[in-house]
Amino acid sequence: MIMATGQSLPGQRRWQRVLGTLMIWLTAAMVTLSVLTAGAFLGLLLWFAGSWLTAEGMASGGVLVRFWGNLQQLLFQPSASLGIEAMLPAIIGTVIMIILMTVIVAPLGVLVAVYLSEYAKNTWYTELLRIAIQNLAGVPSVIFGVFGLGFFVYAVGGEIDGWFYAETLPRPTFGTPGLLWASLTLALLTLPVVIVASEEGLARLPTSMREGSYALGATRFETIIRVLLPAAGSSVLTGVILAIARAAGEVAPLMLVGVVKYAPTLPVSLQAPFIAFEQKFMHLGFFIYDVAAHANVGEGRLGLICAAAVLLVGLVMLLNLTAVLLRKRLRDRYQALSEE
Amino acid sequence: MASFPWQTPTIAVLLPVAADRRRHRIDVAATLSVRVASFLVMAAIVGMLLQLVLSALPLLQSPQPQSLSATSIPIALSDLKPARPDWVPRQFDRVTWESTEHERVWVAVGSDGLTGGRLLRRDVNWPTQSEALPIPVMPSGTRISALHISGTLDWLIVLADTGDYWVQSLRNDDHEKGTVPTHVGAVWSPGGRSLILQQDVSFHVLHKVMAHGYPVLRPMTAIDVSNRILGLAISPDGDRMVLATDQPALQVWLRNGRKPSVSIPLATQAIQVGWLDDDTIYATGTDTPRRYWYVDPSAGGVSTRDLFARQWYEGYLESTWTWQPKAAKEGYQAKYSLIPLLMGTLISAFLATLMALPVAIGAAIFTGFFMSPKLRSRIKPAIELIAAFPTVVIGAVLAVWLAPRFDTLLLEILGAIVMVPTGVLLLSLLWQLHPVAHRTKRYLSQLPLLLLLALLCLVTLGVALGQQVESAVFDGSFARWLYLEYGIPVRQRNAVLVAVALGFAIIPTLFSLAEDAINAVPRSVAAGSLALGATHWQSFRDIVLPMAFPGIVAAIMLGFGRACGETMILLLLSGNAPLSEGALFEGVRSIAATLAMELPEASVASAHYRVLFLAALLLFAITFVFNTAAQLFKRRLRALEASVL
Repeated sequence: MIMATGQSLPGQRRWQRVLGTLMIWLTAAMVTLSVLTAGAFLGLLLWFAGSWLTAEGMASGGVLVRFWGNLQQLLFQPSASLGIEAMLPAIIGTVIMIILMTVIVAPLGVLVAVYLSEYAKNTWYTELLRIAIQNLAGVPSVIFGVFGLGFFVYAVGGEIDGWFYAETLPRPTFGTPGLLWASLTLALLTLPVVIVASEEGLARLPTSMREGSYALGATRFETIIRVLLPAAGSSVLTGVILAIARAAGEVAPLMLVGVVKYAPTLPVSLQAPFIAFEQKFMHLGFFIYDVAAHANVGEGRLGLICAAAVLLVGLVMLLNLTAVLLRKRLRDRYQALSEE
Repeated sequence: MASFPWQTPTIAVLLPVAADRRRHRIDVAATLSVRVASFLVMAAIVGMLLQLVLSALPLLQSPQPQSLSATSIPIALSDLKPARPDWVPRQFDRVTWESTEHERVWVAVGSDGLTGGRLLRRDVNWPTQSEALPIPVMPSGTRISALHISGTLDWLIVLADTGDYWVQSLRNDDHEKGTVPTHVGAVWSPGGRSLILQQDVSFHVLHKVMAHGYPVLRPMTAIDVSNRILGLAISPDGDRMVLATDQPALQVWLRNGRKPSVSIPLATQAIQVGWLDDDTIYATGTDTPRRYWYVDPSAGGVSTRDLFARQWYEGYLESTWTWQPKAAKEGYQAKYSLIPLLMGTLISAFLATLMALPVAIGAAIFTGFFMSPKLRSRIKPAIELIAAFPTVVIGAVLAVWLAPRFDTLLLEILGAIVMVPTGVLLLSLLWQLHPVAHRTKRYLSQLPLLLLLALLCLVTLGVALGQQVESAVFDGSFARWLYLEYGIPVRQRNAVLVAVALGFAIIPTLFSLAEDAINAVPRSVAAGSLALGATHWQSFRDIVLPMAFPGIVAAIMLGFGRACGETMILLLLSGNAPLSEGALFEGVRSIAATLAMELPEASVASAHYRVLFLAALLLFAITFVFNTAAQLFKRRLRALEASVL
């Protein structure tokens, strides 16, 4: 019963215990501090956004009326006095860019994951590919922007202009930052996320699953497409979700490959070809940066930034939620399969 | 992973049915596309590195001057300086002139010394009569060998045969006299901020610096070319010089160069050289026609010394590391020192890691070892929530909310930082004085929740304490006191503010990995030591920590690497002032922020563009080193864990 009665302990051991408890308290305080900081930051965002959106601005009346009025103004009306544009085009630009990126990165990532997990033997080439993908994940995002500008925009875009848009030169069409290049750059940026998650999911599937499929006479392609991918679907989706979450918050590479403060037209339209791949576009993250760095107002700015930030974080969460629900449905459907 | 290479062919051979042959073909096509995709990704990754290297590489190569025929030169020959404009008086034989859009200046050697005049444009017309110019006073009978007016029409240099030279301001009476023996000619740099005196076999560079309110010329470098110099000309942008010597070759020098960056062989020696535009030189021999060369400005346009060594730029009082690419005002020297950017990146990343380290690792230790699994499953996502804030949001909110009042809040923040650990230590001691404390350990796993209120109080207390100290000791403003006592200015955007924001942003990176490493240590190991009588902390410190240590180091490396590459926070909070003194409360400028700001504006394949790619490569190298080190530590961790299990 030495543990229970501290008083009767020998001096050195007692001192050890006091010191240890002090350290434990300190580390516990750090946990509290971290959570507190995270909570405080979120609270700060919500508080400033809320108070700005319900302020007596354009509309007066009840809280909801004022909220709606302010929100409408933020979304639809550019404010000359603040030197800012309306936010809706920025939201649309962000969503379009992310959709385009997902369309590029999801199939490519899955293909590479399938290769690494199902086709590749343990050769130096496979090992090199794995190392390269791992390192790609650690490259700073702005470097992707530098690459995108140097390679996609100036090299590839310049070539495309030379072949197909020679009549409009020297005014560049694809040889200038735009939606397609931004999506491609972000696709490259998020590629490791999709590959790693998908490969993990495929690797976790039992070998018996493949053997069963082959025993029934399926080819390797049929095994992958009918058996393995559906079973690993939730992991693939997790990868895509993580990729989207990462892409939505990135601004630095986009500043180099296609985002502008103000684009006169949306990159999407109702007429064919529906998406203007070569066009520069507006982006929510860049909107926040621009307001913080350049807008010519003092106090109203913080609320505006927080409102936009809440929208950006909300957008990410909405995308995540959709994917999570989708994942759950898939998992339910293939639960029996993957449990075997 | 098991694969069955025999599977597909067997089907094709055994069941040669049309449908099966189709399935087989599809399978082959799928195999092909998967291989192509993986090859594409590999090519993209390798290509990415290659692209960076290839874009930066020409910078360090020596340029290959292209000889141009007179018909293919970019500027019409008629655009060159005309023989003598009609506004320069006719009666003088030796006359020099220079003009801008609004001003015309001429200086001539008259029968009784120098005369000169200035014409100022009125509306759209030019006056016919020129105003008098301030002219240096020199002894009568001085034989003048050379005259040159600076491109800004501010300064005149007069060289005499005796070796004396006079520098005269054309705006006021500022003037200076000096002597350099055996000089042949003199040229102003385009901005009129430095002067190059051409001597027999060497040239002197003099910088105009302000001393006691007066501009004086200060000799900077004397460079021996060891051949007789016949002609010397500075490029219109002021970055390069071309030299004609008595050897049959032209030499192109960088402005701060110690040796020629490129040498162009000629058939015979040239007697006159000059620049058509920033990148095209011409040379005329005694009996050969004029020839033209294009010298690529980006190839060899910057030397390694320019990038990494201190340089004495014109207009500066000492040699410095300076980053100032093409300045807004023309005629400035471009300054491409990567040192301030490198320092900015490393300093801000280091401070951020220092800031995040105690918080993130402390939290990881408690969450990974002491916390109950149930609480852990809630706390861990809460801390990782920080990763869900895009860095642009963190940067923007702090830039608008904290930065404007940072100087007044400095001591309050410091108070809170000091108060939290000391307060927690005191509370813990007080608690342990109570006899009940040693009878229970159950509260430990819930401790963070119990400390919530205490921490809120402590932060408030710290802030209040900071306020009190500020008003009592520092006369109400710590920032002002700091400036008055130590001359440390506290800027709105500074390295400490960056460290706070960046530290906040990298907490989840550090925390996640470190927590994983600690939590992965098997419980049985710690339980064994507890059973042998160790205290909880001893068990952690002596048993768990050594095992998890590689993981914690990997976490720190990864966090540092992330901080190096972070862009938006730096862009918004660092003030982007390229300084290298390392002052804590002044601005910094990082490589990443510079890339985001300057690369869209840099024209393709210019020296600036290539230097930026080199900077990107440098940043890539830094993060690569830290990420690889982190990977190695992680591998070590796995090996260590495997050996225990």
